[in-house]
Amino acid sequence: MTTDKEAFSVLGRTLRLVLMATSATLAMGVALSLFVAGPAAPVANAMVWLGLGMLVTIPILNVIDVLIIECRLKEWPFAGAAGAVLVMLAYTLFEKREAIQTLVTALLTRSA
Amino acid sequence: MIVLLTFLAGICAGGLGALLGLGGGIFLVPFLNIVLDVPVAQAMAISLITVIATSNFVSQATVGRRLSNVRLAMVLQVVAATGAIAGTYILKYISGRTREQIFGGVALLVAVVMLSRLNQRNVLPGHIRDVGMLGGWVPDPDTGELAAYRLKRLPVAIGVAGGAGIISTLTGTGGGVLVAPALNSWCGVPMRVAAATSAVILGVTAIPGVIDNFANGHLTQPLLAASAVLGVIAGSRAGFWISSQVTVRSLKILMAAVLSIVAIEYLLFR
Repeated sequence: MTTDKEAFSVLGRTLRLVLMATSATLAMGVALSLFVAGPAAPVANAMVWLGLGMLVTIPILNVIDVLIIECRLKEWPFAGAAGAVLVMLAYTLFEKREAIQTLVTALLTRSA
Repeated sequence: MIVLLTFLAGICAGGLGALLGLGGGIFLVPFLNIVLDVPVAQAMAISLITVIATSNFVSQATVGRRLSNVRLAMVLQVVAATGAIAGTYILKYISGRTREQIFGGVALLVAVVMLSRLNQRNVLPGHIRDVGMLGGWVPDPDTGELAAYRLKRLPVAIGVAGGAGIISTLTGTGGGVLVAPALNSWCGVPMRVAAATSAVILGVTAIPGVIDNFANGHLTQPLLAASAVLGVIAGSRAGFWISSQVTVRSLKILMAAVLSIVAIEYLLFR
């Protein structure tokens, strides 16, 4: 271990649960896509997209976790670094908001 | 069949990703493109998704958390994420062939650097307390003892992380092809720590590229992406186990060999 941060982690367990849920969603989506046809096909597709979406959110949650930890430790330079990463990610998400909106709409439509 | 093959390729990519911190894309892109005939833009899009999967696994697995240097990762992520965003703009002006040549050239360069520093270990006795703000302690499987390390040449690490961010978006490899070897060869970080830290950095670096690929219509095969991700998650676990069983010298030789093969493929045979 390189620092003593793990003991302060607030989202650690949640992140591990999200990772497991992501794997389960993707596995179910792939299995349904391969073995189930008919009306279930759009649901399978939506599950795969949902799993991929969840996967992308985990690194963001991880950075938020580090930000909280560093703030608690009052290590402001590192908290600033984590904050800067979040700002850049927010910029990317804002820049591509139309694509994200399209994905979310497609997900909601297909799973409805 | 193609889903099964992608899953198996994902296992290899995840194994290499966790073992060497490469993100696995350097293996997955050529496999999807050459063997499964997936267009290179789509292969890179799928590869970037799997880079995030490797990163997630390394960040959350017990072994990964023990090895990775989260503070160093966070500092380098700022630069890498900036590079990745810059890469999304550069992407519009660079052809597919140029992207492949950049990919091959960088891989070859890094292989040479790795081989030239094969015996460099970067570890200090574990009793040393002053490791600086970005150093740390890590279990060393080669000796069975706790080892300390100090970060050297922070500006080099920052420059490489920025370049890795750009390369990540341009080539879909996650940029780990630069970060892990550079941290190890030039910045005094032990190989296994460099690999784990690189994998953590890559998860964030890959996000702008993934969103950009989706926006540009390159992420059109979600089923393949999902099967690759599942393979990567399984492979990452195996990668960590192998990492604890082999010497650092073997890891470096393996990394240089993988990089050389991929470089030759992309520079000469495409």
